[in-house]
Amino acid sequence: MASTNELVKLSASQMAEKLKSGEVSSKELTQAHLNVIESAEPSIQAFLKISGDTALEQAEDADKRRAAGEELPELSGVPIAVKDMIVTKGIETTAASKILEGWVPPYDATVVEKLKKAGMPILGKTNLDEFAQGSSTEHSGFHPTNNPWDTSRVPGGSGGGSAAAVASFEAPLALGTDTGGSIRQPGALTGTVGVKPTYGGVSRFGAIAMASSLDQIGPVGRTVLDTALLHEVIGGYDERDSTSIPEELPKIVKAAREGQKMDLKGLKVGVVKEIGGEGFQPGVKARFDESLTLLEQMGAEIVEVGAPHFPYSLGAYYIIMPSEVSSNLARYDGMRYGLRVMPPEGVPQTAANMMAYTREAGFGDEVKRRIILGTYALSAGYYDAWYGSAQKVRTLIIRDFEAAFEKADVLVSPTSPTTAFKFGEQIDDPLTMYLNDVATIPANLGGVPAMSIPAGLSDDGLPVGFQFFAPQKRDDVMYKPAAALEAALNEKWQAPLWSNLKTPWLDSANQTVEA
Amino acid sequence: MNSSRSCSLRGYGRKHDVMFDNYHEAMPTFTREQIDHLGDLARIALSDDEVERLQKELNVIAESIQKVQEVASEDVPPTANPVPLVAHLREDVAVTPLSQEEALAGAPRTESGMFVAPQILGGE
Repeated sequence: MASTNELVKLSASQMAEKLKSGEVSSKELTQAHLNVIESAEPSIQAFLKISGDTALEQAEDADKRRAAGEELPELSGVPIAVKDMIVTKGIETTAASKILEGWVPPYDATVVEKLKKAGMPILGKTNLDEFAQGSSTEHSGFHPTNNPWDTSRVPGGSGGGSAAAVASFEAPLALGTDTGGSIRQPGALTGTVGVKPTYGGVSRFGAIAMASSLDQIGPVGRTVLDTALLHEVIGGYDERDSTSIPEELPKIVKAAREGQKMDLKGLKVGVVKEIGGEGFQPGVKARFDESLTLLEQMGAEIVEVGAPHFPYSLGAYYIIMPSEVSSNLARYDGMRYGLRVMPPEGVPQTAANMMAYTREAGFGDEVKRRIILGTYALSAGYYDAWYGSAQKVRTLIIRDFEAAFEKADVLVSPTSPTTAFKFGEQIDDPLTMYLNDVATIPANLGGVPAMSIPAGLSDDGLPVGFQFFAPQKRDDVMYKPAAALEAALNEKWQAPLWSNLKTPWLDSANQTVEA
Repeated sequence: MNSSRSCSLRGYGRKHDVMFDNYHEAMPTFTREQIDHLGDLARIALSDDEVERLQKELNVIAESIQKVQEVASEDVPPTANPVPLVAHLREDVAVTPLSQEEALAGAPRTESGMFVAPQILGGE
């Protein structure tokens, strides 16, 4: 017998221990999170769809498998939320777009199959900017999501729903997708951990395509070890994704546990000179510098590294990404699934006109902006000057990473230039909104893994994120210092960062869970 | 449907070369006509207000991303996939595809196990 509040505040790995010892069942744990979701959703709005009944069935099944003595992964029985950019068989999946409203996928994404196989109940689908396009979740076609630290502020984006759900204790873990920072920037703005694995390290089969050469599914959690455990559940080769890396995953969980020993002797940490100057808030810089000192105190050697082409990454990203978006989103044509809007009277009722009116009605402003920009960038006569140039910059970014990793084992920077901003503050100014991702985009262009962990609160009382980058296919290399820094910060604060979060929704959720 | 603009889907590609006549300028400037044309190419029946707003926004965005051309010199090869991989095929073993019913389950209109599309030819 345990109270909802005690249970949901545990880390996923602690929950896993209690499940293993039989102290709590998956059904109880899942019910506890559904209780929190019920009381938190009016103020947080992290979910687009709650799948409580199937989650409880999946939990019962996980309990049965455990009782039958089946060998199960560590996270078996621990519930999870899934970003609505990832398809779930039988559960409505919309990418937060009106054009997919009501669509129930006939198949599961590979990562969802893996969650099911591992016995992890799926609590529901989380909100996002429409088709993962945005940095605030304000571009959701349905409703915004509120930041649990201050509900008048955005949770970041596009994965604001997954980050807010984990930050508010609605879920211990979540899946996100990261094309330019959509896992890491919301992580920074909500005081949670978000990981973008190596491109190709986690199957994209069943992730709704946005920009295929940049998209990556990854784990969201409250601790580094929790994300490591989830990373190992979802990662690895998948023959259904032609960009999936046909190799074993590195030993990620082992690296995270190693990091918890807080010994970083011999590790070289490179501070990226080009990220963190103008436009970065003083409070963000201050927390970043303090974390560097902690890394140094644990034995790491801090060096400065140059990445001279990083200042061009935002420009390259805003050519490559919309180009791929315009191509990928061509599939929403009102023919085989999703919305169909016939032309108004007086306009010929043809298939072509139906498509044009369907897409006009079904897509939101930001999505249209990117499709139009991408259509231009890919058009004959402009392809070389735009897409071609951007792909060259991509080569230069990769070379910058290679040169930097010769001087340092991991690279670090602040995750986001600012803390969480207010609703509406940037929505009418696409360029300012795009700058949110200035520190996160290089990892997507370079295909390298990167993660954000909470580094404290800024002078405005809002969370700040600290970002690690590692070389391609060496995700383990960043987990070790990330876990070490997390442990050092928790020791300094005498508690995790979330202990500063006011959670009025938990008061009403608190009840004893029936054993 | 909130668009007041009637949709005129011209034969796309036809007007292409004349539409973008500022190709050789360092910075592209989007005109209303071009946005209209891009809307046609992308099959989005943009409203007049949207065309106007997009024109302003895209000019600002284009100016800021133009910078990539500064470093994209001829000797730099382009990168498409950041993690180089050799193309591989799965084992040639039959797998069960979606059933006809599943494949049609999300369709706006179906008939006799088929998708129903509006008229494809004529009408314009």
